[in-house]
Amino acid sequence: MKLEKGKISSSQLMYLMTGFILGSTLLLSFVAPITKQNTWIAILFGGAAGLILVYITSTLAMKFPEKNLVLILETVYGRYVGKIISVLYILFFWMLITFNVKGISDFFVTLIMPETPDIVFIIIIVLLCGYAVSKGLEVIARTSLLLVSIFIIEVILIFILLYKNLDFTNLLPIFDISLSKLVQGVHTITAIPFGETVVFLFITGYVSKIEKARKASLSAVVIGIVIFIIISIRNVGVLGNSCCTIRYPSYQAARLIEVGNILERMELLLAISHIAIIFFKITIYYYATTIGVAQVLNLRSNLPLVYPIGIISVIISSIIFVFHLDSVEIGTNTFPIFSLPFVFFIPLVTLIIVNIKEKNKKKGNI
Amino acid sequence: MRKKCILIMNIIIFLICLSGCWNRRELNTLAVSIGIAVDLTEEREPYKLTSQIVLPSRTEKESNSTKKPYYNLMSEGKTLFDALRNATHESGRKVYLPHTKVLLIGEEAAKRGIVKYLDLFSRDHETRPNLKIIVVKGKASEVLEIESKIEKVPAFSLDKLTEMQKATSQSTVVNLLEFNNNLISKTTEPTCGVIEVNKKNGNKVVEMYGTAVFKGEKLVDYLDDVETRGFLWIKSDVKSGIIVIPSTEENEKISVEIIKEKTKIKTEIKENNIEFTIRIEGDYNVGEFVSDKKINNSETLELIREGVEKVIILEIKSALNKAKDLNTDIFGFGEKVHKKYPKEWSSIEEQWNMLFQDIKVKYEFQTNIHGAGTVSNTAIPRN
Amino acid sequence: MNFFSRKLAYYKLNKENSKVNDENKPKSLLERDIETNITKFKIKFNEMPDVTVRQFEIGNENKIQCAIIFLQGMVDKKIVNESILKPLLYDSFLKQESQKIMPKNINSIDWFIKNIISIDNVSKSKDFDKTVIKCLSGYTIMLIDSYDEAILLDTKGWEGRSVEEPKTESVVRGPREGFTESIYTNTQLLRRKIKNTNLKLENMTLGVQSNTEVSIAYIKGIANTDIVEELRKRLNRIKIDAILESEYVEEFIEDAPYSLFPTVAHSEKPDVIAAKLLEGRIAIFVDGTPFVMTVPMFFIENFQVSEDYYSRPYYTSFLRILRFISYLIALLGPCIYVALTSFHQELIPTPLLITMLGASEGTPFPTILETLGMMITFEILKEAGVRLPRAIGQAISIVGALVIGEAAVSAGFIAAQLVIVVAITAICSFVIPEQVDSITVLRLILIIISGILGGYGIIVSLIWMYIYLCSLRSFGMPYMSPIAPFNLKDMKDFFIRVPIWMMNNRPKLMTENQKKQGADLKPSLPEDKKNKE
Repeated sequence: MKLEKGKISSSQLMYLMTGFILGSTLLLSFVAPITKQNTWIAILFGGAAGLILVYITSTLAMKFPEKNLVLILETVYGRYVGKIISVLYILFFWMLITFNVKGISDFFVTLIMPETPDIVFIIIIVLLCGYAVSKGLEVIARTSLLLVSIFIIEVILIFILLYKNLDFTNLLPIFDISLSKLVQGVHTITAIPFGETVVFLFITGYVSKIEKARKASLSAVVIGIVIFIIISIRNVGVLGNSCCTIRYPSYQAARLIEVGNILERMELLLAISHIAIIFFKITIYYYATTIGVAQVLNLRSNLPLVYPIGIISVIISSIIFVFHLDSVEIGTNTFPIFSLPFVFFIPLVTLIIVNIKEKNKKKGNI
Repeated sequence: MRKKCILIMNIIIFLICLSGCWNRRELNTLAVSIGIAVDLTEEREPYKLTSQIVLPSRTEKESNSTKKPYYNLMSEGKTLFDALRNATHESGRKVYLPHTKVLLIGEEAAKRGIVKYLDLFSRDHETRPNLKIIVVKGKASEVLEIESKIEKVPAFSLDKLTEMQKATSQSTVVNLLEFNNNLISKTTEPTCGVIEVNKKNGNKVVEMYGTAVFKGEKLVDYLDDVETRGFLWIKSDVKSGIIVIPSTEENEKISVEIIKEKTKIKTEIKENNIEFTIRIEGDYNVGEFVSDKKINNSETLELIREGVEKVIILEIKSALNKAKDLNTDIFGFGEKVHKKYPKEWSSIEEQWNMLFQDIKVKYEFQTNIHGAGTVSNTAIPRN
Repeated sequence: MNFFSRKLAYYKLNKENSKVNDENKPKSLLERDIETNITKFKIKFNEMPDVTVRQFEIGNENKIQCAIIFLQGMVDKKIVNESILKPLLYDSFLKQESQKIMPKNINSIDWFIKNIISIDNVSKSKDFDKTVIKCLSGYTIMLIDSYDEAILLDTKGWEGRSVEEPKTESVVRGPREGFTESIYTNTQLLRRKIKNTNLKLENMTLGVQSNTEVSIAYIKGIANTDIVEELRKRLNRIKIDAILESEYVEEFIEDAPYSLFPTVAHSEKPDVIAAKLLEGRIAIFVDGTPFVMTVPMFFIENFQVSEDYYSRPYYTSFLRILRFISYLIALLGPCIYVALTSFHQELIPTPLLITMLGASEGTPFPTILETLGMMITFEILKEAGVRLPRAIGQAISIVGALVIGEAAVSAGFIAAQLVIVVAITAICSFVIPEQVDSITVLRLILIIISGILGGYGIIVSLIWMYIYLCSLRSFGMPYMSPIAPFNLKDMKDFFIRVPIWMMNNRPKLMTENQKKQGADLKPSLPEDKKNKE
């Protein structure tokens, strides 16, 4: 039984992926203490590496139209090994749901409403994402256009409004950074926004014209790189040396907007677009997790799983770390290495195996 | 049956969420503070905080005259946050910080180390990074008592005062973000604005001019108005001001208004000497020309130009000398060397304190005199 | 458990009853003998004094008994008297000496129809029930002795409203005709707009007790045949007592019965319906109401007014954007006010905050209660304004509301700025045409949510609403196109209205026959021949 009957167009795939990549915007502040004013260089290199990763995953997806990740793994590795790897992937994505949920709830608790217990934010965002997942992939793709556009417009708008506060000399000296720190920064950026696009192996299979999928994915990565560079240049330019000590640099930068006496206190705009984009990221992970579990267990539909997975995610999110203090540690040290097999090795090996099988088939035919 | 269970669970979860709006604050539970003054005391607790709370009038009719539209809430504590919360011993409303415009720090407090006062405002989510930091010569809480004739609330008048300083460019206005950036930097020393309380005609008046110079986190000295303008020339921060051209004749008064200026500084390391070329491109207007000379003359214009440049060099030199005396790199020269020569910087950085004393400065000017007002020659009796 | 088993038994019983009604009753037919038929009719029309049975004879040598049966208020008396009775009784050649003599043996009733009856629309029927319904619809039944068929003569004519400007959709520039309650007039008004044989009409009768006539109209070649088929199926599925208004039909054919947003559009003006048909939609006429429905519906139709196309494009584009903004203000105004003053006071500019502090000093209630109270009061005033007789209604609505607001402020119930917020919200909610009902409910829900969670609640609710809107379908068409499946070509009529010479295509999802008009229709100056030479 096909789990997902919907079809999305390749431009919707591009928006989905862009929204997903941009959803890691709060995580840019992880890298700032390490790379300081050279964050944009790290983004550039990380984006280049991300292009390679996305190329691998989208090529893999293109070879298996209408199949999600679990089916691909089962086809390549056989039923049992495939299922084991799928379960690992599902746990990986589930963990990422909890990280991101905790991230957005922490954003709000720290900056806007500190006395509200974070479980309220967690429950509500999980409910919202669960609702979106229960409506199906097509509806998620339809909402992507507006939400992603809101985010991109907000980034550009705040950049323009902050133009007179920008001091480009804050970006100097370029490349004044030790190689090990640069590599660490690049690694983090490759892993977190771009590497996690491996989740799109669940979605790319449903593009109606699948040969356009690769181009759409790569354009999404390019847009992500550009926007991230704009964000990091804006933050470093406006905040100067404090960019490494401030926890949420975009928010503090937005607080500095003072155009005439009219446009002040614009950080609400930032909060709105952050919720929209992180909702997006969590929804895609949530979708992948429910479809993955449904596929592994051979269920007919993923709807009954939405609620239980949501409840478990809420519970886990509320008990994992105090976000920033531990998560910086995890985000820069542990996570890039931990995610390496999921993000890089397994897709690469799978692609190589598929290519070898095709070549063998061709040889066999001849 | 199962659907009913799920529905009940849903309702319970929602009720938990709805059972209180934790962060809801009604407008009439806020004590909106516009300005905060921090002082050291020798009494029970070391820190004294004065928050100026705005008292809105209920209707237009009962405003003015007798009732003051503000009151000063004083509290003390072991740390600044402690002092802030201790205000609730006296006031039924918690102090609400997001609308605070100015932070006044007493001289004594600044001399002992300013970071203790700033961390609260950097860390708290309510305060905004464009909070202005001002050092007060004397006790900070006194300034909040002095009412200006025009504004009703002293803190508002201070806020407007800081914004108006760009008219003379003889004082520094620094916000929390810039101050923190300078603190973090290893070579640049922080500065901030200064206010002093003077007596004029028997009344206390607040005046703002000059700069407070810190070494590390401790206040060391002040720059006066001339030195401050020199400092601002280097930082390319002169927005407007009046330059008085020195003249030998007694009755000749020429004043030039600065329209806008841009300073570019070129850094060069030559034979173990660090040399800075300061290039000032400015547009000026002659605002006052009381003289026998004819203004349409190219000679006169040349004279005015030279006069402007001489004054600027004088101001910059005085600022540089004072900075060298205090051994504080308030101009950010160290950062500039860092940005241009990153490789050499690692070896220079340690000795920046000494190298700062030996820096050489060259001047380049591009002075444009745009106009001289609506009158060409002065209306003076010509005999 | 008793309660549940009782409910279950009741439910099953109801199902059986409705089944009985559905089964085909044996068709009753007319008899040959006219007296029997007349008696049958009289029994059926028992206790209906407005049914008239008029018996007469035709023929000169062999007198044939005839009868006409009609309903007094439903037929046009003039036609009955002049076109049925007079020719048959008076002017017919049958009674006077003339060459035409009625033949001796007339086999079927068709001879009468071809030669004698002087009515334009004539049909015949053997089915008794159908005849009864036709009689109730304004037809005259003619019974002729020794024939088992009845002749149905179309003599419809009753008192009805004349074609006038619709009250709900008045325009400054544009046609002022509106539909009336008679389905025949309505379809005729539509035919006048589209004089094309491709405009197809299908009639059906819905409503077990009311037997209301319902018609589907579509343009063959433009409308999607799948949707027409689906619509037919859904309409035929309706088994209800009576159809009194098109809303009854609408609630049966909707895709999403619980949705807050309407998925079926309606209008009172023939030019609007004609325009929608030309884009590929299907119209549903219901007898007895001037509101005609169209399916499928897109979200943007809430904001499109017919006058948009009858005024200059720049002005109407501006008005369209203004309508969007007003919609947002009407929906979000009070809840943003509540969120800002209860949770996010830091986002209010300082001078305004100080004034608001002064105004809120003595108010007893928390902001959310104040706002809820004022919004509900406003709804009450609005409803009262509708119900009151016109003379008093005007006085109460605007002046009364403001006075009440002022008085409440002076008494210390509410803060002064709340009156402004409510006034702006009220005015904005009247800018968007028609679909005001969903805003009212949504607004109240949003106020409650923003009172609990502030800005976060509002944003999450808005995203929720957006997801809901994107998932809505109207007869299979995504509700939010052209935004949701993004289609740049269809955006020509969304935020702005491009000039008509630019609108080359019909909406993509609605129909496959997309090309509407030739390209390159932009008006230009006549070519300067002198320059060419």
